[in-house]
Amino acid sequence: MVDIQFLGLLNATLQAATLLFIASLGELITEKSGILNLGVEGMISIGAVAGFMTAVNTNNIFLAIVIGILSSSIFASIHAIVTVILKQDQTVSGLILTILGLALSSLLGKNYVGRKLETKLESIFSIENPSNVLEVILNQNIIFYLAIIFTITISYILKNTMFGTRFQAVGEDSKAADSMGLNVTKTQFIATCIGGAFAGLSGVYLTLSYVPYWTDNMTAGRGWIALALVIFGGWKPYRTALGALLFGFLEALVPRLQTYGFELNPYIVKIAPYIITILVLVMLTIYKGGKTGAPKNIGIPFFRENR
Amino acid sequence: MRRSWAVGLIIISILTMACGGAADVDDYKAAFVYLGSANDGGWTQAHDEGRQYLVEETGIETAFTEDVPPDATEFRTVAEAYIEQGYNIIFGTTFGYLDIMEEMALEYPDVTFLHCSGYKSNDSNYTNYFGKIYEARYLSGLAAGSLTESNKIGYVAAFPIPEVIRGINAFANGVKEVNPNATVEVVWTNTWFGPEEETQAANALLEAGADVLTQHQDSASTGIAAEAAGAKWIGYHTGYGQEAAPNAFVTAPVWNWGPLYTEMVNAVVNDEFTTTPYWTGMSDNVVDLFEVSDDVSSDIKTLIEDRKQEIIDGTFEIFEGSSDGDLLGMFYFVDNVVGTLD
Repeated sequence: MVDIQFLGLLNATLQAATLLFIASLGELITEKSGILNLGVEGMISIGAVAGFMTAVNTNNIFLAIVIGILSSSIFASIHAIVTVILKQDQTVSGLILTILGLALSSLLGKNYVGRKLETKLESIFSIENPSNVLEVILNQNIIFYLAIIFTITISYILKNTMFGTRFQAVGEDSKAADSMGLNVTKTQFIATCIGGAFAGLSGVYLTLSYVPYWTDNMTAGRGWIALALVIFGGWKPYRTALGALLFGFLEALVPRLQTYGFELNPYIVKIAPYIITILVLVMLTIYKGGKTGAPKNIGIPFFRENR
Repeated sequence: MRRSWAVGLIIISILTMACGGAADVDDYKAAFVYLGSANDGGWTQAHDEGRQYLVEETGIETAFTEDVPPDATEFRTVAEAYIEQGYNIIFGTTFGYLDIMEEMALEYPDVTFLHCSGYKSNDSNYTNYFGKIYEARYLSGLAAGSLTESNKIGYVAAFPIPEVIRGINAFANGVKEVNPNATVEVVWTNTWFGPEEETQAANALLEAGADVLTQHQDSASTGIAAEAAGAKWIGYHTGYGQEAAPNAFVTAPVWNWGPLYTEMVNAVVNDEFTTTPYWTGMSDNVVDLFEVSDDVSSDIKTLIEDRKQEIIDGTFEIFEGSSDGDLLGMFYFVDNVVGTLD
């Protein structure tokens, strides 16, 4: 029994972490280009509802994933147009994206509340009743593996390639990047849409696999935790992944502890991701002189004429 | 000129009143303020079905606004817009509207304010109403107790407050009656709505060996988790779980607000309205148990029907010797419930 419960805890941790991590990774890419997008919650919702609607209507999971990703990406382009092209305030635009995304997803999903999904996103190796740690890991679905592949490749690209260096230059000092001949506007626009695509993937993970149905406000604040996670991870993919596992573990632990008769204060657990993130920031300030890893130009619109 | 108009109006109104002011439903309009979406498949949908029933029964004009957060300003904005349009009965269907409804009832003495699941009232135009859903919970416990093979039943619970605890204990009493060896294990999510938390809690219970689940929250996540694990599930609010988790779904304690809404509106229209809180159950058909699936044996089905009739007749008590006050303040678990309560 203990074994099953331990494996259940592991499985639940991986699921909760995957949902958070994919969205964080997208936000990390957007922020690396110097654009802050607070619309993660809204973007996840759009991907979640679009993917679910497609899956219910076509029973085609692959198509549902693609539509989910595309919808969120197109939705994120609103933020790109407002902040990159029109140079408007990124905080305001991002918040609007969250509010709009939640409302729009409720509207679109109105007739899909409580509908049954005939085909779910299953794991690649479907193992019934996984009996050890390896089997639990192998029993995750394709989005989990994509998350691992993305972590490795994105980290590699950012650290070891000229493309990655140039990309980060845009977020660090867009004026210098511009004088070097990099196309700041294009880079930021694409990075914002990629952030949306990742949020969409996180959304379809939620409604096609993790909690396979649709109801209003499905995301229930996960987008905000994903945002905190980027800061926690110091804008580094591996550290963000570690953070996702930690936050996912907390989420999975609370109900399971109760089955043993322990009760952690639920409110403390709910605010834990934010408290931990603030503590990390404070510690970085004390020990590293405030080098949190944030791109220097984040949130600052790029005006070419201002050179 | 203007004065003669006014005099004319006064005369007309006096005449109207003198004619006995015959109760006319056309003089009333009822507005519903909802917490969630009217087709959420749960709490708010049940209220909206009640509203539709009310319209059919009385012909009163109604309107509703969805997704109004339990926040004073939000509620006031919506309710005032309705009052300006001449709506004079306002239904608020979530606990969080408690104080703002009390406040507005003072400001608008000609408008009747009806609040679901609260505990406040005044002596003229504000009261609260709720259904004894625990009666149906008890009946669903009979079904659950007969279905479990592991003798562990999982209960995904919302907040540790008397309303939720009463439901858990009533359910556990039903379980005990048919299966004294079974325990009801409780996991709190401390949310009314949270698909992910509910999924986590449901899975935690399944991993701990539960083979029948039920829940208090508004989403169907618990049912979906039970379906995936091949376990059985007792839903809540409405019978929509049948579609979301067809194999797991056994039955559900359901709301049936229509008759109560009709009763309350008729009382207002006929000038018989009093602000005594409405707290009724199966005997008034406000709560019920959704049709039980064939997973449950016919013996148990008969038992459920018998007990239901006894509850309606008032010959059976789910909590022996407890007064309404005891029930409304309940803060303990009965002995076959396993869980934390501080």
